[in-house]
Amino acid sequence: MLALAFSLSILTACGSGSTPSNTSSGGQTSGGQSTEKAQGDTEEKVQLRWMMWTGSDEEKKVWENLASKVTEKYPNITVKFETDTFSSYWDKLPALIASGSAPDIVSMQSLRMPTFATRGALEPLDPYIEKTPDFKIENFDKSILEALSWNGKVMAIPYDLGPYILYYNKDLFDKYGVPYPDENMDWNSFLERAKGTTQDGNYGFVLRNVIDQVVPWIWGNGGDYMNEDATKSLMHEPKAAEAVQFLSDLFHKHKVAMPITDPGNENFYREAFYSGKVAMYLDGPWNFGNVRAKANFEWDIAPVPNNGGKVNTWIAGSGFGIFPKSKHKEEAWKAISVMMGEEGFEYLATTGRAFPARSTSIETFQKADPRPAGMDLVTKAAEKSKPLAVTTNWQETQLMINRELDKIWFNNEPVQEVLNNIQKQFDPLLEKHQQILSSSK
Amino acid sequence: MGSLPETENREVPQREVKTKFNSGVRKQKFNREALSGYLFLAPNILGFLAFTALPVVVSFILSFYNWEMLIPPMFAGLDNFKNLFFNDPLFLLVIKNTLYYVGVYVPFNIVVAMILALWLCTLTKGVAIYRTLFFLPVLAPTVAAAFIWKFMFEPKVGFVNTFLGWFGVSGPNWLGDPDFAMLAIIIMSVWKMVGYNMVIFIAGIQSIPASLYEAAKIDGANSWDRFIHITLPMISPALFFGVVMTVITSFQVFDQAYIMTGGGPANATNTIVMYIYENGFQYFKMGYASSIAWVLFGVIFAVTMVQMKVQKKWVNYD
Repeated sequence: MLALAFSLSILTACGSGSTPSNTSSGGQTSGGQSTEKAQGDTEEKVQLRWMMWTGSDEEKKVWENLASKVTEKYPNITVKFETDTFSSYWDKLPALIASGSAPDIVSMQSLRMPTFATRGALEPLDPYIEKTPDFKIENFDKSILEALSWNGKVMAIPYDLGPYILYYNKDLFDKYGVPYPDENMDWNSFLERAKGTTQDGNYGFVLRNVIDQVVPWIWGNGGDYMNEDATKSLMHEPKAAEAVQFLSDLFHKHKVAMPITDPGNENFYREAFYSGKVAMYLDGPWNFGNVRAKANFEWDIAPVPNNGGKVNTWIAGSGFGIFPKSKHKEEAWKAISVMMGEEGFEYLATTGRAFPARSTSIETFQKADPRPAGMDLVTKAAEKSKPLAVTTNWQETQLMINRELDKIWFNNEPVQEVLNNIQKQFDPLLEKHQQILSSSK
Repeated sequence: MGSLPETENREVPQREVKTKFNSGVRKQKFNREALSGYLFLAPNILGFLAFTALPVVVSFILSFYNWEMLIPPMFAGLDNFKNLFFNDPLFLLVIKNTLYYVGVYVPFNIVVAMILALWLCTLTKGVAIYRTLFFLPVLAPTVAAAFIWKFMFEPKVGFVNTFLGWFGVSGPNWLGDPDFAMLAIIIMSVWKMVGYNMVIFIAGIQSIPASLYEAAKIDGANSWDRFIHITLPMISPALFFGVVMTVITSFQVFDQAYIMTGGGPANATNTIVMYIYENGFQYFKMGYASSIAWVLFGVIFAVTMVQMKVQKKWVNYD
């Protein structure tokens, strides 16, 4: 019986996704989630669905409060907040989009945006932005808007700003009398500091075995991992190879990088830092909250060490876009413009959740919690950043690269050999990416 | 639940032969009984159709398509299968990894289960307690067990290396060394699943008549002879069942590797099912994932068929 009920509910769910509610006969409401024409009301009552990943109940409450601000301004619109964990969200979203039942407001992360934008799953927002001058798009950080744009069109309105930065444990530096990392730190002085803090079972640095952690070093050395058109891989070229070699040496030659003992744990590097046994690591400002809560020591941030590169870090962030097949795109934009408006941002900033993408709220964010002391470095780091360019099949590409690079971190295999191996697989993936691009036009 | 209508059906033909002249009445009764039988079956059947049969059919069809979920499916013929075997070195690697897992895990599991079963059968006291203790890990959730073993495999302070240290052996970075990661997962899996085969073997051993052993003893057979010539042939059906089931489940290894190493380091623990998961749910290549699933089905089917054929030579049903 249960199975029967399940399959019936699936059938009805699919039905409501594929037929527009207005044409359904007999005054049926479709799935109970969309239009209900309240009798006598001049304005149609609309319930929007908004899906966003969360990691805790507090986070959930923050977003729900934000959603309620929409109803305060537009009484006819209510936003129904749906949530899941980060990884489940990305498992679920493609299925929802494929079946046409995605939420009206879609949450999007810059690194995954191209995958969805090329497949027509995001509405370009420029026409809506132009219609709404008091939204003041000019207050948003340029680099993060660019990271959430595709073919020059904004696909999602960012809520946070995240250039990769260097976190460091002040207590360890004090203990061994090593100078703190500073703004002009090059690779040599970084290595000196790492060596100085590698004592008594503590390590100078911890690396997460993913490409995101390697890119800032490649850029900082003037190299890149692929060309601008995303047609050719460049990781095997000398500038990039030097950077990877430098990181490999941190593990195997200087032994200042903590060996990775738990490769299945994607928070291994963070936990190592929280434990107080690691002096430096790379992460985004989105992790301020966790470090504040979990680190039992004094800490601060610095830019990523630079070896003469024009940019030395990437920037990523997340935001909110509109599902093109939504029946309430206008209302969805109204909702986004409230949530991502100045007031919405002020509220978000007081919760200290994420470094605000809207510059007007940075001050409020700093007041909410002054740690780290070097917070103004975030905007400075953003100036020397660019989006981590990704392809439409980036998930597959990055996993391939990560696992090839593993051979260096875990097995000390020759850097150039591994990088050549990456090129052999990277180029065909880029070719496939180009095919997806041309078929989506 | 399913057995009720079956027995009813079996009885009906017999009765029909005896009372042929009023079969009309019988038939009516049969129909009504059959109907209620099917009604009882309905929840199971519907569930099976919706959540097992339908997905199986769909995945078979999908294996001949390119479907990335966000774009409509495109017919690809046998391309997916061709690419698997000729253009995808990673697929060959995950097959190799899976075969390594199966090849080490299955004998390891069977031998340990057999030793435990033989030992428990010699005990006069506490059999129930030990049996429960060894069976407990089977009931423990894999996720929880995998997390505990992650701590145990921690190279500096973890239990495994501390234990090895008592004997002067400095243990490896178990999960972080491509040469040891799969072995670590095998050890954990044996610990987790060995109780299942052990219980089956115990049941088999306990059903052997004591008179056989007594006769052999009188003839002067030592304990090894008795094991080879009495115990092993007598429990060969249980052994066969254990081997077949263990092989099938070990080809599908996923959870342990997913949690303990995430398929890494350097793909050392990437298995067929994990590769299906990655293609389907991370790269959105549903068609490709389906074709891998059907290759896996083919492999398991072939291996099981061979085992069924070979069993005639060593499994003793008398």
